[in-house]
Amino acid sequence: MTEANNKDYRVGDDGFWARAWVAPLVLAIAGGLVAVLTADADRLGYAYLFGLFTTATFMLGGLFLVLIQFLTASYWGVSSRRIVEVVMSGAPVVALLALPFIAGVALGKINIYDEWQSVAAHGEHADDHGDSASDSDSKSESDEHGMLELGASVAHAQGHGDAADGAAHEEEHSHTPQEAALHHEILSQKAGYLNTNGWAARGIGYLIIWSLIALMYFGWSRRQDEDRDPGHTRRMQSFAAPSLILFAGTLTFAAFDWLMSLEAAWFSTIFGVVIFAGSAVSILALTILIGLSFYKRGLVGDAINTEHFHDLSRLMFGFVCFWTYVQFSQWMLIWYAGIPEEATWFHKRWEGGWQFVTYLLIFGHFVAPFLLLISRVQKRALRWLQVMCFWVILMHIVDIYWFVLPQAGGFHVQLADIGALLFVGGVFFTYVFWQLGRVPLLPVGDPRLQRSLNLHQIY
Amino acid sequence: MANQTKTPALYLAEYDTPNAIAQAAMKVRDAGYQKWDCHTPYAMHGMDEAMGLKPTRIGIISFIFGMLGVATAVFMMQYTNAFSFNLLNIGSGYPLVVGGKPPGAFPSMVPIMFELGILLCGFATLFGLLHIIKLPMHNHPIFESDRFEAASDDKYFISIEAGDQKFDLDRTKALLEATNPTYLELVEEEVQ
Repeated sequence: MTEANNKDYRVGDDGFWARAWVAPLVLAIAGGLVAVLTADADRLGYAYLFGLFTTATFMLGGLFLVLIQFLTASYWGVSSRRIVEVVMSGAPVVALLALPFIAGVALGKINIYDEWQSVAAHGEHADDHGDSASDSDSKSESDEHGMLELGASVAHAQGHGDAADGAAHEEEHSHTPQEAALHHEILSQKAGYLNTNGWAARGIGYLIIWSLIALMYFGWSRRQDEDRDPGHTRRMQSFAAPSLILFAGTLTFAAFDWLMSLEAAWFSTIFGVVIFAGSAVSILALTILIGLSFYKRGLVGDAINTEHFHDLSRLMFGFVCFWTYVQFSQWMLIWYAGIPEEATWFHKRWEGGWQFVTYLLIFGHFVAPFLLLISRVQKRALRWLQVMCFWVILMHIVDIYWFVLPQAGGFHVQLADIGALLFVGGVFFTYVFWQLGRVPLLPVGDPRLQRSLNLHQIY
Repeated sequence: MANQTKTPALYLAEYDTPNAIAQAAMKVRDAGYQKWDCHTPYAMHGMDEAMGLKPTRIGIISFIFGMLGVATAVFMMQYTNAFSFNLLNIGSGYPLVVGGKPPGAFPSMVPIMFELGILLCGFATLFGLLHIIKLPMHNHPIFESDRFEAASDDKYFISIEAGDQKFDLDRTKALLEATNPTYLELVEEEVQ
């Protein structure tokens, strides 16, 4: 038995990490209060989705990183895996935080998906009456004016007002009846997928799948801490491939359902990949930050050292480039074709002050990290790496903000957006920090741990 | 063939264990030699430090050429497709409208910038590496030694070349003898 397997590696009485969970809890309470007090109902829906999805991407990135390590039977990341596992094991917390959102949308209290919800609800009159009662309270009463109402919901999605007085907005945005009819045609063909019941059921399905995989893997890994049984590793390896397939599918469709459907008629097949790339960037940056704190406070001895941070930052650098690649691919194809139905999504991210945010992403999420993290020297200067990780996480938050909030109108950061992010993120990280305070900080029972401790970068 | 003479090419010291060669490498490193090398049957961890090797320059070469590729792509496309001025009398560019985009639309050039950047970066990495490791090299005097074949089997070798500034037949021999090699040999090169 090696030295590493004998030591405990817990936070113990380290003053900072034993009480670290208090900080996000305070932020969550403050953020929640600010969001509820300052926001109107419409904005709160967008703000909450922004906070929820940003938080979920950390968890999803963690899920990916753990699964891919078992799939490839890699040893380089074993010593930093526990941090990722703890973030991953927050899946049920994300599920709990997502339930009010899903319920709010299903019951018509959150109106951010009105554009397709209204069309789907009208379509359902023909075949199914099961849920239309619960939906109809958020809609206009009349079926005869479905066309007008749709024009209103388009205007509403562009953030210029309430869906209630449709006709006025219709004129204001000069949607011709032909355009409105075409729009309605597209949405009613999508109604088989984009309808309130299906959306809610799928959402709950994703959350259950994520929670199950996360708890299974976290449970096995924790049990291995106690019994040191390599059988757990074998089991986790054999479940890794099917779990990853499930993960890829659920992440893609969650991105479709929760983010892409904000612009109901818009579609992009690479959308899920963009979200996935951002998730991977965020979890790697977070792992480096938490690991650096452990390293500097001597909580894990030399078990997570410069060699491991070098590996993690290389992977982060790679995913930053991957994020750029897929974001650019998606944008360039749409820009080149120049079809209004596709271009509208990017149009919203260019007009109304959003141009600045788009440029910020290009330079802040790609050019800056690319030039400032490309060299081995930069990656191994831990202080530098720490600053860059904070920056990358900030840019990831801006990235998700850019995905959600343009749908609410022009660029105008409100307290509610920050409040909602602090609330959801705060609750999530209260759990993560609390959990880090009670489990061993290394997977002490993993048979590959010793090899991971000996990691050495040749070049 | 009769008028061939032999000159000293290198000292070759043989060791039986990885530990012995690591200890010896540190002594040679501290003595300040530059043109010397270790030959082991497999890649040894920690040998970089023991030999005092500096970080490789290949990354910088790749980066510079990659950026050069990007710059070339930008320049060529902007010159040929966006403007109609005549640079150095080599011929005028021809503004092209493709797909209804303005001439020289930057986004459509990004894939080419990326591809040319990667291409030059790849070439620079390959040929820069060949240059750094001095390939192709048709022969090396170290192969004059019959014992050296064991370097790919079970023996560990240090070679100090005569081209090194600090190389001295007696002092280098004394240095290597102090590292307790199992065998020490002066390899000579035939000169016509």
